[in-house]
Amino acid sequence: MSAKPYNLTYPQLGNYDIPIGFLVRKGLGLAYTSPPPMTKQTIELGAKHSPDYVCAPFKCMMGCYIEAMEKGANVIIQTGGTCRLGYYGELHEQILKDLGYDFKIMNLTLAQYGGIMGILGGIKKYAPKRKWSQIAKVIPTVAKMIKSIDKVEDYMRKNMGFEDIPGSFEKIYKHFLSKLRQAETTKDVEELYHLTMRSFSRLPVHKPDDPVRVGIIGEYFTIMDPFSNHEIEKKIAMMGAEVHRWMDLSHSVLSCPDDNALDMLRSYAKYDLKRFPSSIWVDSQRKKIKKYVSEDMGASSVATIAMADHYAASGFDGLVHVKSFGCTPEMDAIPVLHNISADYKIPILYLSYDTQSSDTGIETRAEAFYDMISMRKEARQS
Amino acid sequence: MKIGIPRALLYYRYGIFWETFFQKLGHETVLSPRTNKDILTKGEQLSIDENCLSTKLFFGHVAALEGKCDYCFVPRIANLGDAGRFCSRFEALPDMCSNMFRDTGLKILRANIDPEQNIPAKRAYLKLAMQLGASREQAQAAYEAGMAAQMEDFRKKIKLNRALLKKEGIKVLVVSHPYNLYDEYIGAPIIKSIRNLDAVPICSDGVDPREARSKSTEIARYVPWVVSRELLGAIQMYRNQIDGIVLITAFPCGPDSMVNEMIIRRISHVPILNLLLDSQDGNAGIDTRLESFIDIIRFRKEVEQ
Ligand code: SF4
Ligand code: SF4
Repeated sequence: MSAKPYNLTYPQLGNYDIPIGFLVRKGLGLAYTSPPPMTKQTIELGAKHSPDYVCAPFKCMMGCYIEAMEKGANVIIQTGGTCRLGYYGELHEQILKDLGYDFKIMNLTLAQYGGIMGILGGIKKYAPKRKWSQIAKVIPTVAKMIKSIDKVEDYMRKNMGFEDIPGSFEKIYKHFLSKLRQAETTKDVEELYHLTMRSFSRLPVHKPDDPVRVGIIGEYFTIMDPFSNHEIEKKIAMMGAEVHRWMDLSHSVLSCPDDNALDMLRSYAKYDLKRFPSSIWVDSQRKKIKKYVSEDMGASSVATIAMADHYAASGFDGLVHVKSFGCTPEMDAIPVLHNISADYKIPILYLSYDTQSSDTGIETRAEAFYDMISMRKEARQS
Repeated sequence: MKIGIPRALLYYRYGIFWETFFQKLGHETVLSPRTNKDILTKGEQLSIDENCLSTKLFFGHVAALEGKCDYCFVPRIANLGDAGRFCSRFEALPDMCSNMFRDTGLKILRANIDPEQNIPAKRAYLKLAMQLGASREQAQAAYEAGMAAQMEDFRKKIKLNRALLKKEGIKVLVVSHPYNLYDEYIGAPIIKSIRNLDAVPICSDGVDPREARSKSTEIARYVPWVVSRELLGAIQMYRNQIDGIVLITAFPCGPDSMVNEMIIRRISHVPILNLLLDSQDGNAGIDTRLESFIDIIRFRKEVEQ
């Protein structure tokens, strides 16, 4: 590659490119280019240059990489993970090179680097003059950003469906995101977070005591990326439901779901990169679903089952299972979901997305599902 | 005790080991029949549509063992440590089966093999043997007998390939997961067609797996999956002795969706035919494609000579 300065990029995943961009700019001291917000075109571009039946996240990331490189990025970040994610990098690299792009790939997988030290070394290569202490210093802010995004979105999902003024939640949320992009310190993030939550709490809402409650479960990427899942949460929330989703980066990467502090510590101490990102949750969740499952079934499947069981046991009215077409671990969770659905008599809507999924198709199915669960609820209440 | 073994998926890798192991321990083993229409239909009914054909067939085979055995053996085989991982499906099979067959009388016999989590195969099998009532010595002996039988089988396959490579005529390396290669509804008819076209089919699993895995990095370095590594290795080891490659994939196979793309992009001097199979259209059209593929190879060879 020419001597151009490094300019990093990471694919869109919800709004997480804000903290990642912050980490790159403030921690590594390097330039960062956000991929443009995903559009239909991004997906089409990605699909065109990907193998036909690879899972959709591969295609979305491909589209993001191409668009970000067109905007000037020259180092693409790829994170590993169990499942096929562990192999995305080498193939993305090959295809993009064949397309003639001049770039480097920071492929943060175990296969490439061997262990955590290798991975850290791999990152550091791009910022040789940077001190570790400078990099470490920004971590708390990055973590705070992630937690704030997750909490703000969680509140939205649970309340926006009952707003009195159409669009009132969305407006505050948009403001939150644009301010978050400008935040410089942990304090900035904290203040912004509190301000946002205060504004939310002042919005007029009409929420029944016992609202329709829907739990969203499913595959790691598609569940966290509203563009990929055609904003399924918002769609259902706006029909008049409280929507819950456990899976986000706070829960899956930052904090362990164990209830007591000792187990939590133990879980961190044993952190196992080979099972990234499931290491901190898989064992404790597995204990909770012993009656259905004895082993780790791969990737996010255990979280899917554990949360399905939890929502069902808490009396939710319906579940929506979200995944990309052909996603092996989530397909494998489905026989268990069938049993949970039968045991708790809770309806489950199964959505399998590919890059050709139509928005209307999803809307129609979500509507029919909502009508069915709200009718069931009424019947039960009367 | 009667232990049922579904003739599908990893049976085609470890079957000989399993049968020898259980028999040495004094149990009777029952194999499901070769894939037939009933097994396919049953498998499709049990499975969601999106699953790969290989997995659908597996469930059909498990169902075929209902009422025929005391336990059906479905191990969890997650990885082989440094040798790589398996498709995540093989981590999920026992729990999938216990949920799918929950309301039937079928009982699942499990084993958990996961060297990455410190449970190497040997430990898992010894534990299983002792759960079944064997002493440590008996368990050890059964394990060793199983391994010996397995090694013998590998040697036989390698020898067969060596002999085939010496044959005259067009040689085609058929690259697929072993359970696809030999299944009546997936690979077997394709192999037969190649033979009928007067070409010599050579199966990708006739290689020393260890050697194949290490050779695979010459084509692609970071492939995480054991079997994909071995398939790549077979291509690397045989690429100069063959005239063409046929890739057989059960749609929408996770590992193949990526690794086959890599093969097509990185192997350029050997013609490649990529066959995607799903259960709906069976083998329609495949024979014609094979025929023209072999014709092209034949034509190329004649021109070169
Ligand atoms: S978890 Fe599913 S979507 Fe993610 S890499 Fe694996 S198969 Fe693809
Ligand atoms: S490797 Fe492919 S064919 Fe085999 S079980 Fe997994 S998805 Fe199916």
